[in-house]
Amino acid sequence: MSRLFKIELPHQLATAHTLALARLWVCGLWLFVLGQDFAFHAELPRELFQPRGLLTLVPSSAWNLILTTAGLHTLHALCLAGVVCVALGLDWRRLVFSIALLLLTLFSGIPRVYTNMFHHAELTLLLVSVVLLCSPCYDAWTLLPGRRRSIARSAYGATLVAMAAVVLVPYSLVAVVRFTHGGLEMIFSEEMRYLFAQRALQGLPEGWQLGLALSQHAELNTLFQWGFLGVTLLELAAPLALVLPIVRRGWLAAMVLFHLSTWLGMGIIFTENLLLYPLLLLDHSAWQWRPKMERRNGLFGYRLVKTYQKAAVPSLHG
Amino acid sequence: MFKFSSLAREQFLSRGLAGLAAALLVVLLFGAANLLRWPTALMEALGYLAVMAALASFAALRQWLRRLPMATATALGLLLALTLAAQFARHAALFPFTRWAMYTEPSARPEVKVLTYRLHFADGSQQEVVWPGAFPVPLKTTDTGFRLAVLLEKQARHADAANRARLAAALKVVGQRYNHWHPDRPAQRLEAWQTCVPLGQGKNSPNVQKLLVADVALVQD
Repeated sequence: MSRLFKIELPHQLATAHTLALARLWVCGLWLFVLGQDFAFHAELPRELFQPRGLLTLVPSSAWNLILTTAGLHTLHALCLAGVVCVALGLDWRRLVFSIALLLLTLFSGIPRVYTNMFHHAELTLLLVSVVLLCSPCYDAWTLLPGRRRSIARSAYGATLVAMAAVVLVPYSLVAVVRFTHGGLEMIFSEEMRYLFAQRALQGLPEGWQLGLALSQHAELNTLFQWGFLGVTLLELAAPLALVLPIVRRGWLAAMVLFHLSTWLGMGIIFTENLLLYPLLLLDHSAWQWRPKMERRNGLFGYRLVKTYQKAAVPSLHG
Repeated sequence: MFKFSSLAREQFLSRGLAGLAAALLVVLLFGAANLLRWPTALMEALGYLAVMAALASFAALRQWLRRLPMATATALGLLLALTLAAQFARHAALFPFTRWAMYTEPSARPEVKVLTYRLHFADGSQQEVVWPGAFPVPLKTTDTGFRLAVLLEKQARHADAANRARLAAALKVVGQRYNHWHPDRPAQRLEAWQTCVPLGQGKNSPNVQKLLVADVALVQD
């Protein structure tokens, strides 16, 4: 039992290369987000545009320049260029990374402001990128050789855990809101059945009717309700994935299944988040980027290294 | 005499925090606090406290925090604080930090409301479509077109004259998007209709209502 619930943080063997891989991964996800039609927002009525939060700091005269077809094309191009530069490590004192993040905030904010829908989609990616910006992520795989400070190797893994924390903690918050506002009464209502029907009729391509078919079977409602409770409990327990490997693996598997089922049933998928989970929760640092000698020694070599690691930092292993 | 060593203090703190977190979570889960008629916001705040206390109770996590470079630790602290603050802030007032509250309010909705677009073509024919069915865009909820549909659905029915003009302008853009993706057969006029489908048993006749008309010839991209 105690072995089952042993405490172990991920990314114990992470190196500068592991964090560089994370940088490339995050940049790849940004390229995916940026691959959408963006300039047509200039055609939308300006009266619908009422900036919120950080966007209120942008002066109105600047918005007049940005919210034109040319302005939005330029913003889109600058975001792309910034992300590519960060991926390649073409940066000077993180100036490019900082500017790119500000531009990506504008890119993410404009569609939300126009439609007054502030869902979290790529905002999680934005917050993960902020952690990356403040980390030694340029210590490997960069075209421009940076000034490498002497840094403890454990800092790389710790940064990856910080990125995971930024992703996992909000899930717990949403579960708290669900329990305190809706309570079990809401979870055991017909809410999920309603949502399946609503989404199937409103937001899905013709012929994509799985959600509608499911919602028409009242006997499946009990399944939806228990599934909803299960997912909410998983969300509540999300931060435990930082410390308990069993929760980490279970949460990852359940969330991938959950995302796939909401995609099939409701057409809702946040691809960016789905692709962030394996980067942050799978302990790829343990087998992917270990030093040459360990690789030569194969799996047993890896086990030896891990045992050594445990001996060296026993407190991290509970 | 019992000496309260630093190790014992650490264990006491860890177990105390874990116990507090567990107690609060039990209260939250089983709604016992609702019986005491506590305000929901207080309940919510206690829930967040429980989550944070549960996290802080793990010595391994505290050890990890000490290993973080100072800049990363500061960024993490700031991000988590703002994420928590956004849970209580006005709608999107702290953007890019937004309230995480998906599917948290009980709806008790007796019907499903669907926004449909009715396209009028030059040859006099009509076609009814829903977003994004008529638009070959990737299946993403983040798509602005879908969000516009939700905006129209939420606001069009009760909008005043000025708002209706804005929404009609937005509807025109939806039409232009349609023409962009269907250059072979562009639409001339676009109407937004709302269909209400009752969910209850025995009430299956949908109620259809015209919400908005973009009474303009749509421009082909």
